[in-house]
Amino acid sequence: MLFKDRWLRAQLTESFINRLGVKGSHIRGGIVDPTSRSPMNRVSDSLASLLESYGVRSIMGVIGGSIMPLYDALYYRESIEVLMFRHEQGAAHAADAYGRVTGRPGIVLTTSGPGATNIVTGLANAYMDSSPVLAITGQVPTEVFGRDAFQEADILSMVASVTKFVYQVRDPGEAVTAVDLAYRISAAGRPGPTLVDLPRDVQVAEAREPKRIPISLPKSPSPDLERVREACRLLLRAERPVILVGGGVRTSGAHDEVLALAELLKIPVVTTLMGKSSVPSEHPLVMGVAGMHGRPEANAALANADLVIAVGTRFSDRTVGRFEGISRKVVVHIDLDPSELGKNVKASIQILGDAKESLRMMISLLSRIEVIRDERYLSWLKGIRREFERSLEEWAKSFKGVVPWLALKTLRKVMPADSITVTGVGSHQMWTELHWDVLVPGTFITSAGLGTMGFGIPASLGAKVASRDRRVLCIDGDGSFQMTFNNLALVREYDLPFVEVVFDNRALMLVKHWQRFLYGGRVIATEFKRPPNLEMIAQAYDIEYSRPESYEELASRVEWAVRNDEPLIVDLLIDSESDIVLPWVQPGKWLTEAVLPPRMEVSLEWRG
Amino acid sequence: MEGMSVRIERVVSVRIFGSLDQFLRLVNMLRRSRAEVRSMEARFFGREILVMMKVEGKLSDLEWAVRKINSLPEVRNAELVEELRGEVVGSISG
Repeated sequence: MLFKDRWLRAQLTESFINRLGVKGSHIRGGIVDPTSRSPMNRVSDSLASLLESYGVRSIMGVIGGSIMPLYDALYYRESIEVLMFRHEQGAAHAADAYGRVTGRPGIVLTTSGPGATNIVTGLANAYMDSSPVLAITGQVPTEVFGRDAFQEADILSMVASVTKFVYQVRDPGEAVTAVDLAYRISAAGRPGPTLVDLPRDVQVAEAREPKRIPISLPKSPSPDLERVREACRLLLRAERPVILVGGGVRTSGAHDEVLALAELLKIPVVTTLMGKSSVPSEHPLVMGVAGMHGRPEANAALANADLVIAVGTRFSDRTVGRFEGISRKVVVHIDLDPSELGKNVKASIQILGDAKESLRMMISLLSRIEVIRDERYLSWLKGIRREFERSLEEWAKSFKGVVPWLALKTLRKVMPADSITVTGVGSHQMWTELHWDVLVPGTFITSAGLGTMGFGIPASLGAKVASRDRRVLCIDGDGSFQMTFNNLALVREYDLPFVEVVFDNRALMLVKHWQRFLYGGRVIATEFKRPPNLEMIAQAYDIEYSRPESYEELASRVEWAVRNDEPLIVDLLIDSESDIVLPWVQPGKWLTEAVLPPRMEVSLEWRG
Repeated sequence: MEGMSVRIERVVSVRIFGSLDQFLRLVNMLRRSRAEVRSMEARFFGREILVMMKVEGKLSDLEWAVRKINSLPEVRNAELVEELRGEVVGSISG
């Protein structure tokens, strides 16, 4: 903060302070004392106090005219660090990642007009991935509403469909209540972003007794025991059941329960992209991510299952491909959000409840039963995995330049097990989905539902803010990098080092992939003819840069960064013509129809 | 009981706390659902809003729309009813 600088503080004289019209009771020895509480008693001061009472330590945003009073109130809160992002979208993504790491809402604070509209993407991203974020936007004074005032934007209607809760405060007495509600709703039940819009006159109004807003927090329903019992009966009768794990398992902290159930029943576990963070990849029953670019053993497990127990997942089209395929199976769907049950897939049994609680009930009912399982199905799936790994070794020999999965394996060896891995969106993300091992649940962050390019860098900053003692790795693409790299300025400004590895294929590769295979090779607007010099960008932000020429050098450079907790940008040149992410389930196809890597000769259809 | 794929008409009754801001959220939800709104009446009593509407669609889609509406924190209650309780302005005929 500005006034922490001793020299600057010394320049402030009492007369200067008096000219500002600030009351003198907090001045000691003629110098403004920033540790004192605000001498003013504004709604903004009450809000700053409220945020402090939650234990908020960091706020991300960009200041502007309409939000100045609240920033001014935060000036007096030394326990809250205000991080000045270079674009509001970055602040929103950072708050999103913060929320995913801590389970508490990340807070983003912006001004009205463009400041507010710039967070719409970030809020939509958090909404799609069920991430807790509280956004507070400034707004023009109430008396000029609707008259197209300077920096007026009707943010409420813009974010109405991408927020869990949104409230525009017009009565100063409701401000504290609204922010309190928004903060708690954000993290309650199924997490999600909320927004409170604060007109400037409300912020500077005199603080008063909070008025009640009769809105209650969502209730967490308890799972119905009879439904759980029936689900157990179906599970025991099934020949090839599989557990499909979504992001809800991570939110619920139910990874132990998922693995315990899988071990009890001796059945495979597959995950969605969000669910990848929910269970450790190395567990022998975890097959990996299923879906469009899913692992073949995971796709085979899901496609050939006769029963799917889906936990904390919304059955995204990217996971299941064709809904008809899944709908033909016996499905047990466990979710906390009643609107997810029956939305995409009609389950045989719907269990409304928390994942952890529901699974514990199942384990308790099943634990006394000795399950005898024909191991052929699991053996078959593991055989597919072995064949996949073999084909990758073959493919690597003909892959020009850096081989994405070998780079990922190298990075995994040098990153600590509890380090947080973030990705951007693109082919690098899909390679990471396939080949990155999550060793500790809750350490993988990606933009799954909205697929927002540019998520990587700001989310890495947010993850580092949330967990400064852990290392953060960002697997990024050059396309994603270019969208939000301006926020690299925060690395040195706030001491937020992370390792940024750019899969530099000079293209929007995933889209180019579709152009090559689905649009007759008509490549347009996906190739960077003049890519930027990443080394100079790194220098501009005083960050170390490396373009390693071998996997050993890659390991060595990243090890250095990890050991010293220093920032590093690694530029990995990937051959764009080779960089086709496989396996690939084309749109409209079933999971067993995946295009497999070259020379992988195996059927994904179970023949018994 | 009707087949799940048959289109039916039902009435949805919604009670919301708030103002036009909250009514907007209801409308946004309905726009994106598969429930087709045939008629709607909204009455504002201070900061309570009562909405009655006739909707058409598959029963499963109508039920899902109601669950989605109920997920909004400002919605006190939303339910699917078989018949109207009271007049709905602009009731369609034929």
